[in-house]
Amino acid sequence: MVKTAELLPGTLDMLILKAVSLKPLHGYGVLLRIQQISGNALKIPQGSLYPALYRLEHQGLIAAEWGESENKRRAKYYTITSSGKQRLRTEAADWQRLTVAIGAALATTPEEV
Amino acid sequence: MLSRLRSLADGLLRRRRFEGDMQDELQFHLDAYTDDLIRSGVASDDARRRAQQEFGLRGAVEDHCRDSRGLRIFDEVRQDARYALRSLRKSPMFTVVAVVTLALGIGAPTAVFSLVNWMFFRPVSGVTEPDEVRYVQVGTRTEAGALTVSRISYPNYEDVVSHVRTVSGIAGVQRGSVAFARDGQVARDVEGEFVTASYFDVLGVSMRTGRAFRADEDVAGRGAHVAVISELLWDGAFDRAGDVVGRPVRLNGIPFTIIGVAGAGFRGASRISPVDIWVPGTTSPVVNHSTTRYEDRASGGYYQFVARLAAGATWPQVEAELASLGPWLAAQHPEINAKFQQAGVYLYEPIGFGAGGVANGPLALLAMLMGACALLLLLVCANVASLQLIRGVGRQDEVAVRKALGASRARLVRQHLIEGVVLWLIGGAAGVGLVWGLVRLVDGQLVSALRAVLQVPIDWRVLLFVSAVSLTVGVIFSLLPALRAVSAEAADTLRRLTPAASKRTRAGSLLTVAQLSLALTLLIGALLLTASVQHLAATPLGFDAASAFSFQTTPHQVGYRDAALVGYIREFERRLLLVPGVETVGVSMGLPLASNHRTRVRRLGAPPEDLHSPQVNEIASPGFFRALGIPLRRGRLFAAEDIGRPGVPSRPVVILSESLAARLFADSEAVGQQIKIPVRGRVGKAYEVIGVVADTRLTKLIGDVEPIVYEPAGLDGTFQFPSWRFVVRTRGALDVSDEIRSIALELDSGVPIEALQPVQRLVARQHAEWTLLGNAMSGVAVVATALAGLGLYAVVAFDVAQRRREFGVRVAIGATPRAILRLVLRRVSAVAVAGLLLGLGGAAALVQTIEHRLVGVDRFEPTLWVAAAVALLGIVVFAAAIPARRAVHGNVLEELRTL
Repeated sequence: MVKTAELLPGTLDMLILKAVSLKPLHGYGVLLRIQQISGNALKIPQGSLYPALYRLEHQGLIAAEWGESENKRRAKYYTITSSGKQRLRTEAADWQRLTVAIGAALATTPEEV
Repeated sequence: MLSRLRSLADGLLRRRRFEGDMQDELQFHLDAYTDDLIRSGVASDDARRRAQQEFGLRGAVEDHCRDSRGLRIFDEVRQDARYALRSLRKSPMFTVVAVVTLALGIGAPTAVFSLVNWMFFRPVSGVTEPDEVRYVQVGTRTEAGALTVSRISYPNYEDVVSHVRTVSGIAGVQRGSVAFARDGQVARDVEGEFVTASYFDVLGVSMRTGRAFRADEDVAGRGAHVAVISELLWDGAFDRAGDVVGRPVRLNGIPFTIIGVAGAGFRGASRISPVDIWVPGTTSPVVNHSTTRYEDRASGGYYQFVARLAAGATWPQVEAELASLGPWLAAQHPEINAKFQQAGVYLYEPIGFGAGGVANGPLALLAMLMGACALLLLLVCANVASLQLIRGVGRQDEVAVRKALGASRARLVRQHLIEGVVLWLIGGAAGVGLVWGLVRLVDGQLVSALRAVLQVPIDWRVLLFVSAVSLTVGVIFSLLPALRAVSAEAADTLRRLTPAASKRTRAGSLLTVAQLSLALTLLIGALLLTASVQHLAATPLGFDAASAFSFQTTPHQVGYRDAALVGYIREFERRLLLVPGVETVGVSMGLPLASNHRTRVRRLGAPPEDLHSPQVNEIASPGFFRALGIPLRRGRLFAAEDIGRPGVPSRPVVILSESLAARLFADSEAVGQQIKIPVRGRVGKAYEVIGVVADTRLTKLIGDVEPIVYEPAGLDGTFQFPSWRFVVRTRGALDVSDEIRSIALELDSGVPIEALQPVQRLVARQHAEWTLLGNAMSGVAVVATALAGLGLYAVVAFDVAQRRREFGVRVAIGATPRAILRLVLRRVSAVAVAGLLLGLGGAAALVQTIEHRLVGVDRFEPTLWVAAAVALLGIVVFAAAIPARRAVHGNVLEELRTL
């Protein structure tokens, strides 16, 4: 079993945007996709997923449409919008900068001070 | 931003679908996860349980989802509103009283202001830029300050028009009613104006169809017989016929052609007395059957003008130019225009009111009404505030409990706020209903009083203002308990409330005193007026108003004179008598109730100073006294020979009313004696008294009975009176109005028949003014009394609520319920006594102003004053007793436990 990490606050939105940007997904699909692309390393609180999806839709970053699932059931599919793509780009860039900075900070050895 | 709004609107408007979709989506997730778990080998029951567990509380998730969409706040508001409605339903007394009060406070001022504004201040319909137009009159002021308005003849008017520079246009206007007749219809009186050709240009009136007057249609001596009518007359007389232009009509019997319909609802420059037909002023001698010559500089013309400011000019400049006009006119034609040498006063005033003085009466009335409404609004706000304050005290515990259970402060405040708004919304809705009802009611009264079609619109700006004021007050005072709970610990609230509250109670007491005194004043006024109305209804008329119709005819207006006039009246009378069911026909110059002519009479041989001035009336038919059921006391009534006919003058005989006979001849028999009537140059001629009839109220219904002398019509051989009134008595009150109309149509459809109605209605209409005033005063008095009772109730209830614990302790240590009651009432009595005394003072002032409206009742009639005071005291005791009883019967043990 892979060791899972708690999600940092604010990162769920970014992960959802990433997941949806790859392919239109229903809510459960988003959960599975995030687990899949994170190598099952992230633990997604299922209760927070839907409020986050609704929030992103409300903000116009993703769009929703009803469609048919793999097992022929009615399911709501989310796709990323153009403003969602833009948001994902900036957030990803920010995240990269942050991780690089924090990584650099944590990698600092006494000699480098 | 846009997407958020769209998504919020979507969620709100398609709420059911939103909820359904959300359920489907969440269920899909749970099912899919459960299936996956089962597929991975978990037992199905376990799988379902685990899926639910990992998903978390579904209700909470749903709430978060709604929150994400911004929907939650709406849910909470809805919840609060529902809670507010529930809690209002739980205290129905409070709710009903508060709603009624709010409705009054919002409704009454709006209705009154809408009416007043509509009647006096709405823009004059159909006039372009009405602010640029003013009435202009020329006048001289006497040393005493009285104003004499001068007439400007048509030639002088033409000179003025070509001379003035500060006005772009000036038009003469002369009012007059004309007998308006279409083919095949009896004429009716229509308000008209004789105007110069420039009239519609000066006022900037557009034509709905047809055209306005051309300059060549208004030439002195050759005025064209063309007329412009209002849209209302177009509607009423022609059913909005498209081909109305070119149709013939007769005005006072003279043929005219309609050339246009004034547009945009134009009915003249005055809002108060609308006009429906306009003709060139130079046709006025023809239409009025007069010999005035408009070509003549010394006669004819206009007293009144409308003028439009020239571009770039100012009204002070107009004033300066007009001031130089008098001497200029005098210099042009020194002999004829000498009177203008002194003419210095040029009056100009905004159009809208009738010319000749901005109606001071309406303005004073307006000020009074608005003052009363402001007072009413104040009282209403005070009462609603007091009511909510009491309710707040009662709810401290509820607030404390809710707070202890974890209600957030914001939520508590919001909940109270919403309750205030809900209450106000209900009151406001009721208020709008009330406005609508009141406006329609008064509208109806005006329609019958002014014989005009009015459609008074509700003034939404005022409604908005009044609503905002009452909303603010309502919300602030409904918030108080919640705000206190926020700022203080629940346990402290009551203790903290007390010092501030006692100050508020004092202010409340003052307001209550004001309300009580106002209520008493109005109650006394209403009782006195109602007594007057009752007295009027009970006063014997002296004549029989039942089963009789009366109408007025004005052949003189259409050109009938002398023998032709007599012939017309005689023929009308003869034909009426042939109608089946008609018993008698009486003709006089305006009896009953439309005549006021005095004469001077003296007993033959009496000294010149022994002169009496009774009412005089000319009687044109022998049936007059029988038609009105006036009893003959002595002697005989007029015979046909007394009255005479064309060519045969009437005899020098008169009939006296009983009181006049007694005054002239004291104890001796009047019949057979002679009197002198020094009128119309017939001084010295003697008339024989042939009969004495009962005293009647034929000339006026109210006040002392007037002595009357009846003469045969046309004592000097001529009928000159312009208007004659017929009275037709029928068997069993048979309605013969259709027959009367058809006779008028056959005789001469150009002669108008006016005021055709049962005599009883004529009488009732004279009483109506009193009845209306009495009813209005009674209505206001009832409202004021209700508000006063309410205000008092609020103050006492608040006091009792404050002192619950004190009373509890007192009862515990042995105070009797009677003692508690006395404690409560002691505070009330000071307020009540002060209110009563002030109210009596107010009433003393009020009766001065309504004294002339009081009939048959003394203005200080003690029984009525005492009755009003007792009634108000009863309400005081009632309003105080309800909360006082609660204080007495309150659960002592419970009060002590909460100490």
